[in-house]
Amino acid sequence: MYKIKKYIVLVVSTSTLILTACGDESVHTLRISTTTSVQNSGLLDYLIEEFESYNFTSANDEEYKIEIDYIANGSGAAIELGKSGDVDLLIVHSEEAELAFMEDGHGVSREQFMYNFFYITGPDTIVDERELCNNLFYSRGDNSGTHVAEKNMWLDLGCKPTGENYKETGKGMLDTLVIANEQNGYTLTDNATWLKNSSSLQYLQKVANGPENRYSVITVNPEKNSKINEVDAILFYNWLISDETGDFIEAYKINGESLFYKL
Amino acid sequence: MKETLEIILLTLYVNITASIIAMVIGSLFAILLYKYKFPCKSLVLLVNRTLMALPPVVLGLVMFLAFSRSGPLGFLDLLFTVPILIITQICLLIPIITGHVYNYLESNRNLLYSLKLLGCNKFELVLTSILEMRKGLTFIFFIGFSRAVSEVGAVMIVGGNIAGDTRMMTTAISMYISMGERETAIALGVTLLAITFVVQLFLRRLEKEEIHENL
Repeated sequence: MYKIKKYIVLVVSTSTLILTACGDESVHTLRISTTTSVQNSGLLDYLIEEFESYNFTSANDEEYKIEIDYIANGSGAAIELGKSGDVDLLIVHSEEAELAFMEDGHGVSREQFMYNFFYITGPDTIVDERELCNNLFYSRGDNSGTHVAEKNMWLDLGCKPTGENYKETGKGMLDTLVIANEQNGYTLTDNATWLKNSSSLQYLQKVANGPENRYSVITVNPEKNSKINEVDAILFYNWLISDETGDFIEAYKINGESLFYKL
Repeated sequence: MKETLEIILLTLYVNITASIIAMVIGSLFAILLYKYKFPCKSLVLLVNRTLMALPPVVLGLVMFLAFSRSGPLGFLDLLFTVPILIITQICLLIPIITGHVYNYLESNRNLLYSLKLLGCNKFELVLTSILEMRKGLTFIFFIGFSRAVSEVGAVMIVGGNIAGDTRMMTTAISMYISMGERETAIALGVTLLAITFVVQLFLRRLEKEEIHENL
């Protein structure tokens, strides 16, 4: 039986350890919903580390810090979390869905604050982008910002790979790149995921610049419920769209290349 | 390193707590099912067995919709917190544990019948049968724990994989894979197996010690 006692001690001490980790009065929590590309690029951690080091003063003159919790999904799911009012702020890249979000009154402020380019990657170089329509292409197929950009790209090109040539993975960017790499297919990728992982994708190369990829920050409408942290969401929003933060974003580089540029 | 330790501790805390609570609730359900005859009993058993195959992601989605701020239980403000992780795991485990314990009781009908014949009162009956069946019950507990510890879909949806908060070993592994950090993913996977090994070892020692005491 003494073993069981020891075991209970372990569980209790673990839980106290975890409980003491939270519950600090002078720290406010801001909850963000974002896309996997922002998380996977490492940019968000880089931005949050800086922002969390700042001190803020509340309405009744108390100093506090803001802690940011973020949840990363494809853009479709990321925006849904804003609609259900489960987050305070969104960082997404899916313009049409964002505009619909704003039109339906789910958001208060929206600003495009940074951009980069999608890359077209594949096994061989192409002369004309329309060649993509006759080759094996792997689509994200998950309603993410990248998937939406890809659908717009087909509209611009006026053609689209069909049948056996068009496959939807339903997975994240890197998973899709890995599949394209294994199966000799083309795919559209955000530059951050590509630059971070191109060394392990030996059968793929960048063949062309794809469409521009603009990221927006949106504050969620606080009328949705009483728990939305509007005050701190605005602080983060204003910080993110400022010119200095833009420079800070451009200073984030992988292999000497900036992943995002300010707008 | 500190972050990894936090992830490991959280994984242990959530899954052990959930397994213990689900073991208690599931066993109670199993005893009720075993002991009482009621109409539609076979239907209940059928539903129970079906729920044993409940896909965790579906459970995660249902829990998400229920506990979202715009859902019926949103006022509890539990989404993306540790308690919801435990609640979800408990919901996932209850049908599994109920099914296994019920099945185990059925196959031990003779033992339970003999205990009754020996003139045990209810309290003695429960105590003795638990003692007699401890090995099987420990194993069922371990089945529950294994299922919980390897689960990724549901805890990803309701927990959100928030760093330093609700990030568990499986959600971290899945994130590292999508980030291309395969070494970290594999290292965490091996650690998860090692933890399961230690838990198994611990349960084995409990069994052995009791055999020793009996000698």
